Amino acid sequence: MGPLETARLALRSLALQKVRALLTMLGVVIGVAAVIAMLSISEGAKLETLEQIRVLGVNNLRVRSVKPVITERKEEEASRENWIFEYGLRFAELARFQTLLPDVELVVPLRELRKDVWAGDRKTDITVVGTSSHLAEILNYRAQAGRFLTPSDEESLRRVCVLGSGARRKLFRFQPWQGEDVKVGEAWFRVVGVMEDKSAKASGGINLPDLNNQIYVPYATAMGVYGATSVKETTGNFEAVKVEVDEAILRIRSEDRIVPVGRSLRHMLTRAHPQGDFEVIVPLELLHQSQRTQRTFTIVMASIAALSLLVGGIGIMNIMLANVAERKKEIGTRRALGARKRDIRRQFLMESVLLSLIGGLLGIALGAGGARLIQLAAGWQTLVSPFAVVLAFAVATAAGAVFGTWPAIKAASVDPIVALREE
Amino acid sequence: MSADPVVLFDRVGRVYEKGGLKVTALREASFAVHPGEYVSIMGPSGSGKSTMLHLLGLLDRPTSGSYRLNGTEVRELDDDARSSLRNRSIGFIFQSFNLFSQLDVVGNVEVPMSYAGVPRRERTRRAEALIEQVGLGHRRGHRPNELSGGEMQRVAIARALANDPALILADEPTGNLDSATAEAISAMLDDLHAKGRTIIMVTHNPELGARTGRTVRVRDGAILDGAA
Ligand SMILES: Nc1ncnc2c1ncn2[C@@H]1O[C@H](COP(=O)(O)OP(=O)(O)OP(=O)(O)O)[C@@H](O)[C@H]1O
Ligand SMILES: [Mg+2]
Repeated sequence: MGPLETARLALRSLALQKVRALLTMLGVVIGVAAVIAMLSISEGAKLETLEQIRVLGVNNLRVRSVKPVITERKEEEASRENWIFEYGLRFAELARFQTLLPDVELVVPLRELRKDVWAGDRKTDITVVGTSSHLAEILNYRAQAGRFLTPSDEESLRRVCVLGSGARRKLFRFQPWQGEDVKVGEAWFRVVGVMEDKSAKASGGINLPDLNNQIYVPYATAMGVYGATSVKETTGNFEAVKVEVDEAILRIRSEDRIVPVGRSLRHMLTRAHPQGDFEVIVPLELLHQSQRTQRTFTIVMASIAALSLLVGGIGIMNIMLANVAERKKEIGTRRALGARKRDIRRQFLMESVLLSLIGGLLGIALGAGGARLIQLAAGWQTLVSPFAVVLAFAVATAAGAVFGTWPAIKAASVDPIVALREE
Repeated sequence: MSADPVVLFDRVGRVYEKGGLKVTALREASFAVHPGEYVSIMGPSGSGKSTMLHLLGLLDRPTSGSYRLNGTEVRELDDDARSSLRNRSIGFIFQSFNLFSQLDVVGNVEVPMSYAGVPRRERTRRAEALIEQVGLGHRRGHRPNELSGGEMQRVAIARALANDPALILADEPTGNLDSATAEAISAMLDDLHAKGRTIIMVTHNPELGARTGRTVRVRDGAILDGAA
């Protein structure tokens, strides 16, 4: 009997007790489904990180101002009136990055203005960013209509703004924006352009804001109009905070210089900011970090997979042993009709392998479905990779072969004279 | 008789050992069955009929003596060789039919041929011809649990003939059938004999024994008469 024929016979035998077969493969189904679902989640997370790095620019570094922890002495100062809490990067510092670190090609400041953006008399959740004309270049972010900010906007302190695609919709719906003004806080800005749609989810390690929901104004204009100080009301207390630059994006000349430049930058900034009110983010490091977590995750997953397949395999072995005991008469009869021991061994091994193989297939379907559900419910990106499918399939099948061996050997050793025994 | 015997038992013995205790189930049994003979083996319970059937069917090995099947000495053959000889040379008919419940009628009749490596198409063709021959053409796609006892035994007879064996071994073939059906099966065996088949049948039933050409009587593991 060829393998195909053996498989056909095994399928027929399993089909005699479909419910039992299904219950037997349950362990493998659940094990494989768990592995597929988990692997798709981690693949999706990796993809998301990569996507964010791509949006941010592979050759870019970010430096962020971080609010330092307030010490006791400062707490006293803070209780005085008119005290302004000052921290973070200075605009003047940014130019020094470029002179001291020749690998830095471009520096773009970002200042998040905590101002309300008005659509008519309605507040929106659109955020305002003061930045330079290079932002478009550094993020590879293009205007879809009109233009982005220019150096002359900054030099002339023009009150102009460029809208993210989402902001444009919120402010004007489908009405034209040309020649219109937008009210930001108390000041008005003339719209000169609308940016292309740039999709990037605001999640994961990089914490990218949604570029589409922003409007961009010249950095110098913003500082001139609003200054660096902003006041925030928290539970009745007014807190005045002075930050010149919330974030700077640095473009590095070549990719292999990013990590060393990041290191030098940290050194430089630590000296200038002993209070540690900054953070250097190297996207490439994030990738490495995510790969490290990935590795841990993979080890954990592999252990769970191994364990569940062990349990599933033992389940298969258990049922197949019972099968052999119940089917002694069939085995004896087959032997009487001329089956060799190895024919019987193959027949029963095939049943075990088919059980785990079908279990593996069901598990893959269930796992992929589960991943899809998680994507829909939790909004996480997931990806069922062919590698995961092949791996799960191969391991499940191998488990069937390993755990089916003993029952198959037992089947082959059944004494053929049972064929003639009458119970 | 001129032709070489199909079965030649020469002082065949079978001793069971169970916890140091020796039970002689068959001692010094010598007999021959020639081509075309229809022989029954009869004897009281515990006399050694089943033991003889196991040995004849190559399901068990003698502990002494010599057994030639169609001229081949089988005592020293290994398990695979005996399986293959069994497959080609012996057709079994069982008391409780022993059909495979996962296969239909055609599938059941095909089993001995599939172990013989007969190609699929040829196998099906022959199986269908045999099923026609036992009068079950209208049942070829049915599963055993959809058949009556008599029909099942007819399928089993077709299956026993699948590889055109030199010897047919029947173990109480009508034991599980009502008398009318038993008569039909007996008639079918008579017919096979008439067509030149060599048949050995173990039975308790004297009427059935009387229909055969010769009866080998066994008692306490020894052949009383009918050896030749
Ligand atoms: N596996 C075995 N181990 C030990 N003794 C056995 C074994 N099989 C048979 N015997 C013994 O061998 C003797 C012959 O047994 P056998 O089964 O051949 O008798 P039988 O003629 O078929 O009887 P029945 O008509 O009841 O089926 C008996 O004494 C039996 O107890
Ligand atoms: Mg008996």
